[in-house]
Amino acid sequence: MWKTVVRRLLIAIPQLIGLSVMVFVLAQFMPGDALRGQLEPGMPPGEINRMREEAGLNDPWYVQYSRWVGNVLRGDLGRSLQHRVPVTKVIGDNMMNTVRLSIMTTILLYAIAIPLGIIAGRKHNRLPDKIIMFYIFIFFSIPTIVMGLLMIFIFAFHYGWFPAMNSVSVIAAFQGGWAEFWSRLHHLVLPSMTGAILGGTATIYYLRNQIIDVQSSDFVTTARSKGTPERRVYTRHILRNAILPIAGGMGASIAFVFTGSIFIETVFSINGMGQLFVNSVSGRDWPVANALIMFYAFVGVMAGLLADLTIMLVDPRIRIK
Amino acid sequence: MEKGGLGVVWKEIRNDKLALFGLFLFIGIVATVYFWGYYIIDETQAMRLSMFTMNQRPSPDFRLGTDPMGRCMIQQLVLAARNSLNISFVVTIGGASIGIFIGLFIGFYGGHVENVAMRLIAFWGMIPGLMLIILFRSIITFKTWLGFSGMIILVGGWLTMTGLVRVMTLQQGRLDYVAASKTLGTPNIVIMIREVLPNLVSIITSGLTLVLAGNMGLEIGLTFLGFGLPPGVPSLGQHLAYARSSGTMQQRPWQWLPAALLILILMLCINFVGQAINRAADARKRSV
Repeated sequence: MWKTVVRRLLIAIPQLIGLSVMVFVLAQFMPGDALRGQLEPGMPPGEINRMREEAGLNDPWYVQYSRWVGNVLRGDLGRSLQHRVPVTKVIGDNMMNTVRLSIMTTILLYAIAIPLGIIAGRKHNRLPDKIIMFYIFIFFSIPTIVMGLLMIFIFAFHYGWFPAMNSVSVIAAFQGGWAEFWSRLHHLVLPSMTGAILGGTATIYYLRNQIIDVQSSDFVTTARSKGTPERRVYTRHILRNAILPIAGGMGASIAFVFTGSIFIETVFSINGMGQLFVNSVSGRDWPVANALIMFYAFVGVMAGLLADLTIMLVDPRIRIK
Repeated sequence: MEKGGLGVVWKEIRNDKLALFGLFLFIGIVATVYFWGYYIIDETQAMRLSMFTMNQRPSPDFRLGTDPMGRCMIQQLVLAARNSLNISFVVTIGGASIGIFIGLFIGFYGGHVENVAMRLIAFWGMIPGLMLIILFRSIITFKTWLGFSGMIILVGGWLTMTGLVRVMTLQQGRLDYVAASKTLGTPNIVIMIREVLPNLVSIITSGLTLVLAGNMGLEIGLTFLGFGLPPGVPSLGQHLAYARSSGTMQQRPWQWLPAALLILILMLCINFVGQAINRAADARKRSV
């Protein structure tokens, strides 16, 4: 198993390097730069050039790239051109919001998807199954943005149950403690529900089909014929087997939620990494944008690995291969 | 996969009332939007700003109210839908053509060709596509929607179809009829296009519906984020972007809600049809 891990990581390294070169070269073609926004009236004419020189923007791209790689290896991702603080700090400030959103979304996703999947699989081709399939169908079709806007329109503006934007209220953040916690939770409900409902459709569908498949396998017939109570057949025999792949998909699912949060963060105005990326690209703040792309690619690689590892752990047949 | 022409696809759709309804509704909407958008609306007239009619509620003069620039929302919606559909169709067809070609090629030759190509594709697929498109879009400003579509095709539009066609071609390539054709001396390219490709028609159409829905969502998302079409060009994503200001979202729902509902209907139609085509592509699930 460790061989697979090492091999996968070794393959990922040149991929990440290639990606960083590509992003770097692309960044060179970006028209305008963040420094222009910092010009103030009354500055001497040579000032922008001096600032560019200072930021190292006048060097050819390969010089800049090697300097960047050297710094990254030392754990220094550079300075944000827009915020004038280290990139790590800018990302760190925004990261927790995305992490909270991802965790909450994943919890809700499984809380919704697993019961629905089980019901649909058990009542295959009967009314509950049909209703749940229709539900899957509707929410599979809705783009994230449309869903988010409708959620805000209905539950934030029409009913006023939840706040429409931001991740915490100013007063609660000032008070700290439980007040802050509840405020954060309250703010998370709409965005994470949106993500969980939309992202859960695939899981429900998969679990349902899995249960239907397992139901007709020999060991279930054996269990039934030796008189095992129906409840026990489901909990012990069918569910245990049907839920394995779902458990395997959990790692990938968290990463998916993590990287898929750009739209949700924008719709709900959450200061997370997705929104940071959008803002830094519009603001030509490429050290931040570059770091974020690399980060997301890294998360993607790790999630793929994690997903394969979990499946290997829970399914002995794959481990032997 | 013994039979896989368009005939099976049509039979499956005809047997599914919801899919048939979805197909006709979709064709109806698309035809209306194109006819109205290209032949009835005078675009320069419709795009003219008017200071006196800004942000008006729906009224007999303007059935759906007016937008922040004082233009009739109905006309704007039609033009927006037209542009969004244009992009979705072009990206889908362009991406699919490239994807089918590459997929056929890799799947048919297999071996080293496949290994190398799959490495490259895995590398490309690892990159967060949305971020890359945003990055490209921030470098190049596209004057027309065609250039914008081309960029999306090149960055990620071909990936899905390549994977789908490759797997299916791999399966087909092992079958006897391919071996027989090879023995007869038919050139590989002819086998690929005249013999393997027709067998993939139903799986390709099934992939097409999925990709079409995805591309529509992509255009909407990119424009919403501000990295799509330039601000002056109406599109469904731009209408949704009106709702980014909470004032508009709350007090002027006629500026964004119709677009949201139209997107919803279009997506549902595409998926209704897609589900039926999906059944046609998988011989075990066919109902006819």
